[in-house]
Amino acid sequence: MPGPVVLATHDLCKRYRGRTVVDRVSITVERGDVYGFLGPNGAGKSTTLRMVLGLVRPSAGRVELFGRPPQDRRVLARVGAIVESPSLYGSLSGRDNLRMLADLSGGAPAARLDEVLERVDLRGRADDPVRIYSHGMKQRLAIAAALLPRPELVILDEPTNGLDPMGIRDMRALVRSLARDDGITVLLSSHLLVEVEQVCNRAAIIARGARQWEGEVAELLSGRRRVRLRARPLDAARAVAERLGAGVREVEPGLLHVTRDGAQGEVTPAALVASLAAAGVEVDEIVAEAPTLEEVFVSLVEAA
Amino acid sequence: MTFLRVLRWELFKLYRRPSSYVGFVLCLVFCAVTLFGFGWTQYRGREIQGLKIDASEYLNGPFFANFVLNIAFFALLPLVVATVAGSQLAGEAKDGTLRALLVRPPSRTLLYLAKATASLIWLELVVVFLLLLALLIGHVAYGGGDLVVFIWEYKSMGFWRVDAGDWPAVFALAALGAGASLALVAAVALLLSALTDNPVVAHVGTLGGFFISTVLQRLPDQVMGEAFKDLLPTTHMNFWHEVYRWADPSGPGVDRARLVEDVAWCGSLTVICFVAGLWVFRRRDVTS
Repeated sequence: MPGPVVLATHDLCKRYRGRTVVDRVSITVERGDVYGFLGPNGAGKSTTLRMVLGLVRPSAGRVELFGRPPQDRRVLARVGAIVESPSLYGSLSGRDNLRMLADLSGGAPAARLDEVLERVDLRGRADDPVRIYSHGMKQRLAIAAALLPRPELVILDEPTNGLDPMGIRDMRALVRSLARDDGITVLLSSHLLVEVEQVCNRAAIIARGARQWEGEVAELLSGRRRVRLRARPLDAARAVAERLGAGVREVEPGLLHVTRDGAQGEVTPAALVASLAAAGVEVDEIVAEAPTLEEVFVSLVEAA
Repeated sequence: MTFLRVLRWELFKLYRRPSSYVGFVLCLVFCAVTLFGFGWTQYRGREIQGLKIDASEYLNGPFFANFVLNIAFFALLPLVVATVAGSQLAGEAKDGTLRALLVRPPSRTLLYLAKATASLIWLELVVVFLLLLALLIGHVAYGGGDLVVFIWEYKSMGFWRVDAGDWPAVFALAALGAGASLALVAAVALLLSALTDNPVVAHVGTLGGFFISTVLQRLPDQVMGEAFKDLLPTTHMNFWHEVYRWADPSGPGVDRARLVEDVAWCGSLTVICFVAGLWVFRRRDVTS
């Protein structure tokens, strides 16, 4: 059962000098979601997020954050956000950056500062100027700043960009923990499919400015489960699969991909083998396959 | 309360940013160069504009400070205010920090007003610092005494003297007046800063406009007529010089008509530029 809607965009559009960069994008993020906003570079993800946060004015459509437009600045106190690269003041220490950003969000006690610094493993470097931080440290400090006001929604735009493998692993663990341990709704924009597949329960795919798909990640993958089949004679095998209501595609000579979600219900590998045997078809190879999100993503983007 | 909170942080950022101190360093350099120049050209023994006065009667600490303030007003202080105010929005846009501010509850209007106020406070600090530094250096080099005033646009009035007990008040008012006048430069810089993501554009644009206006204003009337010069902002930015006439009890007193006209011009232009900058900033897309 879906939770209350935390963020919704309705037919959001952005045009720059006649060029449409976001085209009627509608997404819905529900409370408790770790929502992946997935698309190739230049697809319009950041522009959409900027419109969500009131940084960019939509050419058409509207945004609702907790049922209010982002122009109602009070709702922004319930949101923590990092848009693109971490934006911090290099001449200030990590702690002063946090103090300032916390103050602008309504204030936070010193203990809360230490708590978030501890969480992103920066407490020991908190008094160093940010200009000497590594990119990963800046990214972690930006996450700490986003978490300071105890937000109900955290928006992270490409949070693993520029991080080393350890940093990427830590960031993903942090995102999971935000949702699991703190009950924070997370909107995670990424062009990394594996990131969304590993971390998110729901997602939207955006390509060339338009939303291509939105829903449960598991559903997206399960809806595209298939069987890899080599059999003789191939035409007879194809006819058997089609009789079962499955979609059949010859991907290379002698190799069929049979979709498991057929018109008459699920086509299990066992049922397929039984039907093939009954029809006198010899099966050389049959493998149940779940496509990766990458394959699904590529097919959706290519179709766009 | 929120405004004061945002203003406090804007001032704190200026205080912690090394580039904010370039203005103070330039003040020191400017005073040192002026002092050196006075000695080099033997200013002490010369006449000014054919007006004969014994150098020992005017060249002292207050005179040096007043000279520095008046020259810096058209040479150094616009540079300082253009760089501070011009970096306020464009600099933050370039560094990406504007995003961090704008995804938080304070409104754009509040942020703009806090940045404008912080720029004006910083500007006033630089003006006061320059004046105090020049007074200190002038006193060490030439000693104290009465302030002898010579103002270019009042050259027909010659020199006049302000008693040693009176010039601190004159300098205090002059510092406030010069700061208020330079608010126009700050307003233009903020407007350009709201229009661009590149602070250099705001700096160069503001200074370019200021110096073009100054040069045109200084051309002879035969080349550039008075009616045209009246349209130039810099023509009206010297209104604070009236404080010197106010301090001359034997003179004709303050030219009230000129004061009102100049303050109205400068004030209107300043408000127009501030409001235009706010209008632009409230509507602009933050894409950097």
